[in-house]
Amino acid sequence: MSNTDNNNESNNNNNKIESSFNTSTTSTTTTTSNNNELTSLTATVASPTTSIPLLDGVEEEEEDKCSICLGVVDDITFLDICFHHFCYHCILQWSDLSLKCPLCKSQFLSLIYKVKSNKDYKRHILNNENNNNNNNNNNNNESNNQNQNRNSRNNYINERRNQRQQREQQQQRELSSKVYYLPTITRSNDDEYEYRRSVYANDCMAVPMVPPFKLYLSPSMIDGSIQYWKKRLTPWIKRELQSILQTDNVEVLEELVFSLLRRYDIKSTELKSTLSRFLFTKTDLFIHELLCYASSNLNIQTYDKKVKYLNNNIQRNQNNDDSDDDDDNNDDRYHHIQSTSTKRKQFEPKDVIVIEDDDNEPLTNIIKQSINNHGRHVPSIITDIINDSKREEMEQQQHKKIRLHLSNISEEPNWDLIGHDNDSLQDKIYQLQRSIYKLKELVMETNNINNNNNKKPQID
Amino acid sequence: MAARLMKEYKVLQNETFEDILLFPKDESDLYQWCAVIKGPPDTPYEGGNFELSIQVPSNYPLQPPTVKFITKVFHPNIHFKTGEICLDLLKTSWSAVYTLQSVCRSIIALLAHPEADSPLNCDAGNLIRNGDQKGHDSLAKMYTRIYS
Repeated sequence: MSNTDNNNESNNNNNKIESSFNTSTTSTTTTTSNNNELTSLTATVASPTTSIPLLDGVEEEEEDKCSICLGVVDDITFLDICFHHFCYHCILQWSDLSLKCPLCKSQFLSLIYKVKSNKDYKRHILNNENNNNNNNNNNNNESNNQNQNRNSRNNYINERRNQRQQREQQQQRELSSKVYYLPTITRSNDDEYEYRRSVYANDCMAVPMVPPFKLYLSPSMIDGSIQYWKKRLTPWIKRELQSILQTDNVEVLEELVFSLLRRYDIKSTELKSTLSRFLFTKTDLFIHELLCYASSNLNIQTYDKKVKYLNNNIQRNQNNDDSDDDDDNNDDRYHHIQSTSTKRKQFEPKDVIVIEDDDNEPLTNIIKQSINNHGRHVPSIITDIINDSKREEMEQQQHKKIRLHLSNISEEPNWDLIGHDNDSLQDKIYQLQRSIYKLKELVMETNNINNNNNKKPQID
Repeated sequence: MAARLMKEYKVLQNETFEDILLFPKDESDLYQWCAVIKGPPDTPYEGGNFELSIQVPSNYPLQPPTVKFITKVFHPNIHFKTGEICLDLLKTSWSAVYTLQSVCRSIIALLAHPEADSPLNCDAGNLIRNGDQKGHDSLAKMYTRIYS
């Protein structure tokens, strides 16, 4: 029998072979059931009751207790900065009064809860601007009242209101028409330097992709993993310098900027004053762009694709816009740009307004920052959950591998050939043996993943 | 948040401390507490038993309890007549994780470490600020003997 024939028929014979490997497949299923038990245990947070010493060393606390209500944690919630945990309701009530962690007084800005895996969790961003909100509410009430009054009047007034609205729209069109010449960012793939040059030429500021409290780059952060930051920042710095200075020889400055970043905080005046000696008026923008990129956790290509730009003038107009008229205005603006634009793809004003909600940032990143900046304790509950989800993922991959391997196993040898073609038969048997050996290895690997979990690995 | 007070009460029933006696004035009303603390050793307050009255607000532990000395104390941060206590922990730096017991403990710590820069008892504060630690200590000792 030739090899091609084997391949053609192998699919048909898969079922037979799978059943002949019954022992090995059942062993894998038992491991999965174990694994389910494990996850269910950790999901209910019933197993870890080890006590951990707190920072102040005054109190000791059990992992599953909330230190605000002193009861068992309900809907466990972590603070984004120190990863101390409380009941969701307890800490939410506390956050109304203060945004300092009740345990360590770190300033927190969001609550992380319903953690299921590294990326599957909820985040409640808190804003402590109650006064502003109240003001806004008042304004809204006033405008509502006005609207109601208007509605109660007759059609004549409605007509006048329409006229007024049209006039307003006209004004806004005029306003927006002032905008079009500003964002002339060219995003052609051929010349990324051209694109960066246009950013700097038009003073377009990138919209940060992370919340303001994460928008920083400190020397200690860089020192934490110099190689990573060097690899990540140097190409960016090089490109930016080349775009601003419009020259290719920037090696020396490149080195200088990086060494400055290692010595000074990115927002420090020392860094700024040094940079301004050769970047002049573009210093602030350079720092802003660098900071946005550095804090984004994306590589240059992805960052370039995702980043959105804002111009101060646009922002001002945006604030004046009525939400009802947004679409019309945008379209107008867009047309305006289209008519005046060159062949290159122009920057769309709509991009400026909508800041996309990106996927959740991996929890491990937040935890790493917490450890880097504060050296705080991270509770094993959260690391367990993350590790569990990671392990599950790995296991699923492993199972996939096994399934793939099973589907690729060569066909059962044709036993009728005994005595006729012993050589090819032996080959077949040898191949089958190898396949079985490989399968055993894969199963062992899966078991190892399970075993490793029992040792409670830490996030590093 | 009466549940939280119940929990604290249960814990206190099972534990006894050498220097703190903490109990509700009336078991049916957990918002009024009474505490007796011992003056810390190696201070002029040593050997004294100081009675405190603790009023717990309805939204405790989000808000701190109001604590007053019933026993007269000569201390820079304790009002001699009203027994009012000047302690940041009971005001601005209150945190929801503090318990009535930890409050008592920090009041004992305050007795041992007076803060003369923000005095409620100007006489005591001035004595320390003018460097007359000895005079302050002996006065405090005398009042401790008289009142507690």
